[in-house]
Amino acid sequence: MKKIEAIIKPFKLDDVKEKLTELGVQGMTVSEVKGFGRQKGHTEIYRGAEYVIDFVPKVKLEIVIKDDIVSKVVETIEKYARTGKIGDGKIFVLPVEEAIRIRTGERKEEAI
Amino acid sequence: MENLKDYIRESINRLEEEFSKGLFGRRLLRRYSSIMDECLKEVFLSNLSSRRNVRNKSYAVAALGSYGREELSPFSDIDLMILIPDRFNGDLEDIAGKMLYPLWDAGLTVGHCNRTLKDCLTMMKGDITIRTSLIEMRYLIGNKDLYNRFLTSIRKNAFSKGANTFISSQIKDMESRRKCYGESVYLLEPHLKDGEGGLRDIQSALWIAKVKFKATNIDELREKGALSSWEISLLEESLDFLWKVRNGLHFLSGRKNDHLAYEYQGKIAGLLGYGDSTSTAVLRKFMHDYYQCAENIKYLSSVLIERSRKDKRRIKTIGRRTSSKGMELGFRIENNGISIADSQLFGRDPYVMIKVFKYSLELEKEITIAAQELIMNNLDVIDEDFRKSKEVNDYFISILRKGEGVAKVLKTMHRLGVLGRLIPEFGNITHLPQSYHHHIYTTDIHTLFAIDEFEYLLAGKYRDTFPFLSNLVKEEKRVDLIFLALLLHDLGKAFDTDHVEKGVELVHTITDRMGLPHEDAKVIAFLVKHHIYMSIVAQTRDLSDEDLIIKFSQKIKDVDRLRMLYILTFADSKASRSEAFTSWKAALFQKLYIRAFHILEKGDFTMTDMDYKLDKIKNDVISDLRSKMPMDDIHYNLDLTPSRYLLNNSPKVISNHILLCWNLEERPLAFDVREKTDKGYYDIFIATPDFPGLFYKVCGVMVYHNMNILDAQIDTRSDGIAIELIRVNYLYNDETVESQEWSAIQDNLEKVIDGRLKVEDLVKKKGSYLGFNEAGLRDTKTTIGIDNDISDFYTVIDVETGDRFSLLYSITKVMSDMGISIYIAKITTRLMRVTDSFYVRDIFGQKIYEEKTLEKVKGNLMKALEN
Repeated sequence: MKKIEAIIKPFKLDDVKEKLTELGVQGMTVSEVKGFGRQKGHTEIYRGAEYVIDFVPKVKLEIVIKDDIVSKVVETIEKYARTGKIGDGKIFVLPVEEAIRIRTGERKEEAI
Repeated sequence: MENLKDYIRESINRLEEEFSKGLFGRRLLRRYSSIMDECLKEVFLSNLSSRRNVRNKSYAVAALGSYGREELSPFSDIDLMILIPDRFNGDLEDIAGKMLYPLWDAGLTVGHCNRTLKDCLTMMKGDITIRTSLIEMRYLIGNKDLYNRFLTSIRKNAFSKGANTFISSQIKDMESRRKCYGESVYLLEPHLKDGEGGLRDIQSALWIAKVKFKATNIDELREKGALSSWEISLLEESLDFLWKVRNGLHFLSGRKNDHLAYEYQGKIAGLLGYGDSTSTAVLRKFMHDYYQCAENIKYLSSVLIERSRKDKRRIKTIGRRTSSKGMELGFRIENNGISIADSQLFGRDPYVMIKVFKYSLELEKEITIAAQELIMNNLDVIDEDFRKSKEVNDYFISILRKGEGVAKVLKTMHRLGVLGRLIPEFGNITHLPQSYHHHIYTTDIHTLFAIDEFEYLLAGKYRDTFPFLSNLVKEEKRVDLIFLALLLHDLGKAFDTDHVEKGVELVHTITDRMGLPHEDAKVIAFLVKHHIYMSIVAQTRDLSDEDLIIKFSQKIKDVDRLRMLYILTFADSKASRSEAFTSWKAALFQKLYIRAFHILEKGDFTMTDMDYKLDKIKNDVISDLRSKMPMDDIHYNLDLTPSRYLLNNSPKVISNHILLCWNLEERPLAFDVREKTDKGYYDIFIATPDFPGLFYKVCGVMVYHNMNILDAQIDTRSDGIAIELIRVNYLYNDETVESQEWSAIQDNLEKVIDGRLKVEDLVKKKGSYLGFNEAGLRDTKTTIGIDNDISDFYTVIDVETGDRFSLLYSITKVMSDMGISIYIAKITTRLMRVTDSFYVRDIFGQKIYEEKTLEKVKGNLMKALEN
């Protein structure tokens, strides 16, 4: 089992979600997050006043999946979250030790 | 009763079971009070006295607070008072201990005090809360004669001295509570006890009325005229509902808890027999009943307070003499509220119905209950003539123009039924459930909330959370239009069809009827039509795509509308659920707003006939291409093409280009030349997958073939195909360019693009011929300006220098070497001087912000051009 954490541009969420569902991903956690990477923040100028945007709005996806579809999932996110411009985001793959479905007590891959 | 703790727990469990079978509200509270009475008597009898001599004890025990009123909820505090004679020689500590320890051990929260009659009377003078609690004391056990003596003198004192001070301090108390727990009945998660329209409101009001009317219970209040029988049954019914909800909440949370949090609402609805606790329809119905009940409580509390004040009422008749107040004959200020002196007033002057609200807003005074009743009984004066009257509508608009306090007036108008009569379409959405999951209020309530949110924004409440928007709203001069648009924005929901479209239709009817100026009506229709649009664009589109922003701006058309739409969208989504407008969303909206603002401010793309123009161009292109390629492909290609390009070229040219791109397929390059013989120049079209430095390579090839670039228009389609339109003249002006020359150019372009040939080598081959014709008189004075403010999407580099052959090649080489991509180039030559503007981005496709890089660009360009 692996956990995929992906930080992507908000407007790419629908595309990515749709394609992942097509791949058979059963569930995901989506959060509205703010942050910065190499892009840093930027400044918006409005009527001469500067508004500094330190943190850029992004969407964070968290998905726990079986090992055999990890590369497919990563590829899909990479492909559909990409605009080619700075700020497209990042994908992290983490090992998962255990998963439990609280209602039934199912464990491991049964639970995801 | 072996084990008190177990007994109480079992009793509560039994009650909960009976609750689920329908033992609700007052009956349940009575039942629990009597269970507690039994427990206390039992404790008393087993620890302090035998059954026989209970009445001979020298002291008595009384219940206070909600327990005194027999309105005890499971898990509530139990307030006891031990009454002792002035000269008491018993062991108080022993009595209290034997009485209270078992109760504490049983897990009850018990508050207690020991008092002599003298104590009571002194304390009553000083402390209002003590006075209120003593009025409601109830005999439990012990010396009954002593208790009666207490009761008589407490009542005598409570009702006579300082009643007015008591009343005004109660009112003050109520107001401060309101500040703390929210000033609206309609809160997402209301507080059953301390919130507006909560239990404490009616309790305070009842205390006040009891003191004023010297009544000990509700029946006496009726006899003495404080409440009518109708009001009493409304009171009982509403209280019962509130208690019912509270019982459920206490049972569910297993503790004393009066905060009706969202998570409990559905479950309580289920418990109270509304139906499936997971259904939103059930939840809505339940919350609707709750709000109605809280409204009733709020209304009855105001009635009681107003009537309690009435004895010493201060009345100011507002006639001509006091015209400085701005009110007309027939109104007066009574008990600091606006009242209507003559009950026939509406018959004579129906427009009073709207004026009264205007005065209420301007004088910052409530409308008295009596006047409210008069309004509710005379709603039929609001007929079609009334709705169409210019006077009425002028008054209404002037209310909306006021800004502060508008929400409150509109709510009162709504509660009294005036709003629904004035705008019957609004009447249709009253109590109408909404179908989207993020809404939990009925449509009318949601609308009033949105109006609240706008007013909060105006008042600066969001200065810290949404600073940008809070500043922006200060620019707004037409708050009346936003109020009206908010009021009308969801009217379409009363119908099954698309609510936005239907809403716009209704808005036209309403603004016509109101006789609103045409321009204003147009703005309101626009706002209602687009009230979801901005939200969608901000959240689901790429805001760094210039073309998107241009298309968005075309729909909005001017900066005032843009600002209004932003404010309206904010109020609307904030009111759906307060967490629906987070700072995360605010950041996206702000970006969209600023970018669209800059486009609109420049006005380049916003002529009103823009949409029309674009549509016409597209249609021409379609009819041109219809026979040459599949329809789907035409549409697809048109969608990829930037609006800027579509507007700058004729349909014929565009069709040709689309056809060329469509045939591009696997080949690296589409190439086409049109000769303008009469003008002495050629238009070259190049389409190829974009890459950094493409334009530089094109310039190099042109130099090699002795082509002088006069103008260049570069665009990139959203599928990454660069389309470059280059206007050139041939260096040997009088010679014609042979077709072999064009083939050679195309061949070299293909070679430099796919890397078989280095453009530098090609230019080197040209060598010493570079700039040969102007060698003697080269003007190298150069100015370079870099501007990051003009565009939100590009850094703009302006170069002004003396004209020379291969100039463009030198400039683009510098940029290409530094990893800068050119997106748009504007080349102008006038009298041997050249002014070129380049819209560029860095290697990541972003504007260049770093000062250092910008300085370097400038330096390198200077070096290349002045040498």
